[in-house]
This record gives sequence, structure tokens and C-alpha cells, in this order.
Amino acid sequence: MITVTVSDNVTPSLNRLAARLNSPAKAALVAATEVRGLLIAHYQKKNAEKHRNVFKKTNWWAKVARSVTRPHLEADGAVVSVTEPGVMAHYTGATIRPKNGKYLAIPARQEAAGKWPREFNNLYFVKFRNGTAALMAGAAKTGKKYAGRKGLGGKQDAGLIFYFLTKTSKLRADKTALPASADIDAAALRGINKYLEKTK
Amino acid sequence: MASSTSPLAAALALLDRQGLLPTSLKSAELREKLSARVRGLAVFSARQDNAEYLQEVKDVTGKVLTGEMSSAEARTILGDKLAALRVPAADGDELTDHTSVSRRDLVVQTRVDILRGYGNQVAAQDENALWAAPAQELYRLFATGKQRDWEQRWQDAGGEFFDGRMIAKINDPVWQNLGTGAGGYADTLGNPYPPFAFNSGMDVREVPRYEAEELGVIGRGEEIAAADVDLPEFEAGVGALDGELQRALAADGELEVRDGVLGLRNRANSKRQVSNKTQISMFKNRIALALRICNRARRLQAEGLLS
Repeated sequence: MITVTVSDNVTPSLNRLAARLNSPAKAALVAATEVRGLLIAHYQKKNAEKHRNVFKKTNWWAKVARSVTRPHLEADGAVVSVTEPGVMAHYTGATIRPKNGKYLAIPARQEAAGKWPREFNNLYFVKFRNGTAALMAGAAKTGKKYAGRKGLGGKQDAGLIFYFLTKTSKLRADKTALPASADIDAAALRGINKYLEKTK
Repeated sequence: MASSTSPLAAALALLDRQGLLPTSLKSAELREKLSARVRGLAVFSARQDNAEYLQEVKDVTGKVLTGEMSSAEARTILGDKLAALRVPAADGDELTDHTSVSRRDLVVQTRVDILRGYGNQVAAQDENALWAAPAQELYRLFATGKQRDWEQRWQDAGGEFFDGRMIAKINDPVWQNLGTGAGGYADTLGNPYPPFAFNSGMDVREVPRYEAEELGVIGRGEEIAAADVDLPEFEAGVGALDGELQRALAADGELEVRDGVLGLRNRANSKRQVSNKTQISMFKNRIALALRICNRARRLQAEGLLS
């Protein structure tokens, strides 16, 4: 979960609005409401971007947008959080290791994207001469059958690699997983200034 | 500054209060027979009569909400549970088959989204939040395969357009009407907050006060009253669902609870839904086993090892 706060740059304007409204709570929520709008628009735009690989869209960034909470008040201000699992890892980067088992399964085809290997019933473990391990569909002479459940998979997939297997994977830090600090501050100030203009 | 309820805390508190409701009722029957009140207090899935599975649904929902688990992992855990319970794949389309990826995905995502929507609705009722954002807009967050006509649904629900935008005050009846499917829509979820229908790409976003006043959604300085969104007997714990269910059973002579499963009178509750394909396969296996036993017995007899 990521909790979004504005920088001290916003504080003087926030204090002016709080005094004008006679309510620090209302002022904080005015700023936080604009910030939430910015976050949602940011993730909506990311979701609409062309994905860099060929797999079908999973609308993950739209789920992130949906997970942006409405502002609520805490002792020192208004808080907006982004609660979709994995967002923080995208922002900071992470080394991903398997929780259960020896390998991580990286989808190698569209059919595998967004699904776990266990959801297929026809995958075989194979290891190539160069040391690469994978889960391949259909019968393999030397491969060990992956103990999947009755589910996806069919004869037409025979011989296709569904997943590459690796022991760790590095998720590169993606600073666009959040709008830039300057943009967050600008959104907060925009909301605050609108009210200051109206209540002159 | 005084604190207000966080949306996540409200969502988790509701999840904690929800009781398990194994049922043989279909989606349309659940909508027709159970009030939003009962459905809001229950963890259920159409035609899912296994309480152990529903407990797993409840557990993974909580973990996805708090960010401990991804929805893909949750979906896989549900699949593991169904396998452990030996629930076979059902005939028919993917969404009616509990074991299918699509159905499990729908169950997890819908439950998580409903709880998030509820949490946001609670947060929106704070008096300062109502002042800062007294209105909200229904908009399309992302495109889905088969898009519904939301402008028509909005009109059917009694909504107005402001500069072509679907905007209403936070507690306007239009939101409940949307959730109830005013205009005859049977795919809605019954809540005055998103998601309003299954697999929907629609969501709501706040309209700040200055904008709501400029558009004429509210009058200048107009105050919006908070609505009571807490479900009844919120503090009553697990008894809350039982109480509401008793009322529902008393009011509708067609409903009954048999062996812990809510269903319709005169319709058998199947403990385990076995597909036709599986039944045929099980029958063939039994015949094959009987033949093997007979052949073995004949061989043993011929060898004089069996009288």
C-alpha cells in the first residue's frame, strides 16, 4: 500500500484556506480530493497505454485506480492510499523470489498471462541445454509432467512454451507508478486556490 | 484534527461481520429473494453450497484488500480449495462453473471491489468530506468487452446530465437506483456504490464543491446530509446475518434452510454438483472395476486358488 502525502510547499496555502474556512479538516480534504482525482487520472492513463509486450491487457492499472481510497482524516492531515497489492513493489523495484517452490513462472505467451501454471493441466517441466528451464505444453519425451489440475490447456498447445522458469526476477523500479511529487503538490494547490478565489 | 473512518478499516470491519451463506439459489433468485441488507451481511456465491469454500473466499478477500495477496494468488488458492473438496467442473458456461478461472476471478474481484466501494461510501459520509466533495460523477474507468449503455441506465435511474456528465449529489437516490437496476436491469449488485454491475468498467469520482456549485449540481453553500450506510446490527457480530436470514425466511414461504444450505422448497439441494460427464465417467469406472474383479476371480478359480 502506498500512502500519498503532499510536501511542505503546500502548507502555507493550506493554512490560509484553513483560516478562511475556519476548519483545517475541510482544507485538508479539499486538497486531498484533488490529489485523489489526480491519482485516478494518472492510473487511468497508464492503463490506456500500449503494453510493451504483446500479451493481452489485464487492466491492472485500472484496478490500481479503483484501489485509490477516498480521503479520510488522521491527526495530522488527510490521507489518500493506493491499496492494490504490488503497487509499492512497482514503485520501488523489488527482487521477487518464489514463495512456494523453486522457480518463478514468467508467462511466455498470451494464454499464460495473468494465470498461474497450476491452472493448466498439460504443462511439462523441461530444461534446455543452455540451462533455461520452462513449462511446455503437451507431451515431452524427457520432460516431467507438471502436476496441474484439470483446467486450461488442450492438444492444440502441444510443444509451446507457456512459462519460462527462473529462481529470481528483478522488477525494475517504475517511478511512474506514482505521479511526480510536483504534480501531486500542484493538484493539491489547484484545489486550494479554487476555494481561496471563491471565498475572497 | 479529529480522525475519520478510513475506507480500508470500514471495509475490513464489514468483512469481519459477514457470515457465510451456503446456498443453492441462482444469481437471479438471490437478487429476488434476499434483500440488499441480507446480501450485504453475507459471504455467498450463486449455487455455492460449501461453507468451507466460502470461508476460503472470505479469507482471501481480506488478504487482497490489505495488499497481502494478489488477486491471481487468491484465485489460485480458491482453485486449490475446490480441488481439495473434490468439486468437479460443471457443464455450461465458464461463469456458472465454480472451478473455472473466470468464475474464481469474478468472485474475488467482485467481493474486493464491493468492499472497497462500501469503505469509500462510509468515508464519504464524514461531514467534512461531504462539504469538500458533495457530489460524484459516474464515469468509465476502463473499457470492457461488452459495454452496457450507462447513459440509458443513468436516465432510467432518474439521473441528470451536467455538461453531458453523469453527476449527482453523494446521497442522491439515483445511486441506489443504479445499484438496484432501475429500468429492469438484472445484472446489478444491489448497492448504492460501485461496482454497480458484474464485470463493469464504470466507477465514481468526487466532484469538488466549487465544481458542483459551478455546474449547478448543488446550490451555493448547500449542505448535504450524511446517509446511514452502516448495515443494521453492525455491532452484533455473527448474529447479524442469522437475524436477517430469519426475517427473510419468515417473509418468504418459498425459502428454506436445509442441512445448512439456503434454497428453495421442493428443489433438492445437491451437496455435491456432479456434472453429467463426470457421472458417466464414474459409472464406466464402476463397470470396468466390476469386470476386472470378475476376471480376476475366474482366473483364480481356474488356478484352483479360489473355490
